[in-house]
Amino acid sequence: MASTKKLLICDDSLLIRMQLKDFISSCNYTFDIIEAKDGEEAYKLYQQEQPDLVFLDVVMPKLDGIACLQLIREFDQDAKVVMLTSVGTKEIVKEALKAGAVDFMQKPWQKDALIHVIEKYIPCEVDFDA
Amino acid sequence: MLSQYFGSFLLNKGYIERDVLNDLLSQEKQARVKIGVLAVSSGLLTADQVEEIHYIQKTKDKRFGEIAVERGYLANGALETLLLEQKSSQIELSQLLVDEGIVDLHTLEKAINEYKQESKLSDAQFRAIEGGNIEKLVEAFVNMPNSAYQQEYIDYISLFLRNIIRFIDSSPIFEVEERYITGGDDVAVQQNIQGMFNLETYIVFPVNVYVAFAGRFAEMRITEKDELADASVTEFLNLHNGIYVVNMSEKRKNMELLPPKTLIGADVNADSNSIVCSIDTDIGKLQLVLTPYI
Repeated sequence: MASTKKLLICDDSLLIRMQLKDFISSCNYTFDIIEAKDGEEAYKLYQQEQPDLVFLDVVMPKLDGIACLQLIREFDQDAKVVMLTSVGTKEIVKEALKAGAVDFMQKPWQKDALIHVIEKYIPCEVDFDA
Repeated sequence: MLSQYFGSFLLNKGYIERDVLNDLLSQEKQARVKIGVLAVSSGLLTADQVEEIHYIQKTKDKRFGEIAVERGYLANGALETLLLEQKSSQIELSQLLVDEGIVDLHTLEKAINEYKQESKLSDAQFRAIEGGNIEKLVEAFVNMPNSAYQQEYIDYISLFLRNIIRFIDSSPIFEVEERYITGGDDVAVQQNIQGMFNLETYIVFPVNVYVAFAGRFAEMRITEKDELADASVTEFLNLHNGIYVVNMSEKRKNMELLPPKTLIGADVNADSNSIVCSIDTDIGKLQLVLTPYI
């Protein structure tokens, strides 16, 4: 049996972490969801847990999302990191994609788009008996 | 939007009592027909298309009709028809004032003339504001600091009002304050924007308004000022500033955001260069404070 997939949510806003976690759980996905509130914490957790997918904010204290993404990609070239931010300027999108983000989502996130991204990078993780 | 401002003027001049004004504004709000509803009921858009446009409006600072046309859901002609239909179905504050017998036509005319004179509005500005042009309203009422970035301030405050309308209350009353005054239990959120010019942005609230605002934005039950309330209010400011930075970037003006934080009202940095606006919503009054820094 395959091991449970892990999803890391990194945002300095408790509200965003809570809303994402609640929504993902309500869709009956069986992931282990881990949380970080800044880039430093996210990088440490990534090294420990090596999650299958990361949602990463850009504007954060201690270590911002782009710098964190660069560290994660240095550690793991195959890391799947989706940027989730309110600052969707062309410059930041370009910078994130150049640093190795696999996708970019604008806040406030849309449920359909979030499901689409999850299923693109972590296929078939719904527990139909839940 | 003019209704709220004109209403506030009538209140200050003693033409009308606050309870009566609130009642009339709430009647006006209820009678206001949403363009999305009109479009669905006339078969021009599907409910899914309207929901998609509403979502886009939360991430991009654009009008409903503009997005519908860009996406190819509505032709320009169809949009114009809808806008006309929307306007003709609106009951304006001035109409309600007369219908309810609060003022007669002559008093209304006198009040409107006084209003135009005192606010130094030209007829063209008056018509632009009446047509819902928030930029014109901000431009006419806010005394901008002596700065090279006046247009950027106008854009900022106009967007702030639109985001209050989008996320918090569809009929805010907007006023410009002479200076920043804080009450004992005020709390605030702050986020700095830096780049082509540097700005400290603050929203200040009495604590009960802060909690209500947090609940309204998060669409959750929030009953006290806790970590979740802080996260909700800072996220509103972050989202608003994010849209502003994107708008600026589209005009090739590069700016970036620093992480937001919470503080107490007394710690807000306001000086003679600050712009202070108060916004009265159905959950209470808040202040927007903008302080430039080097």
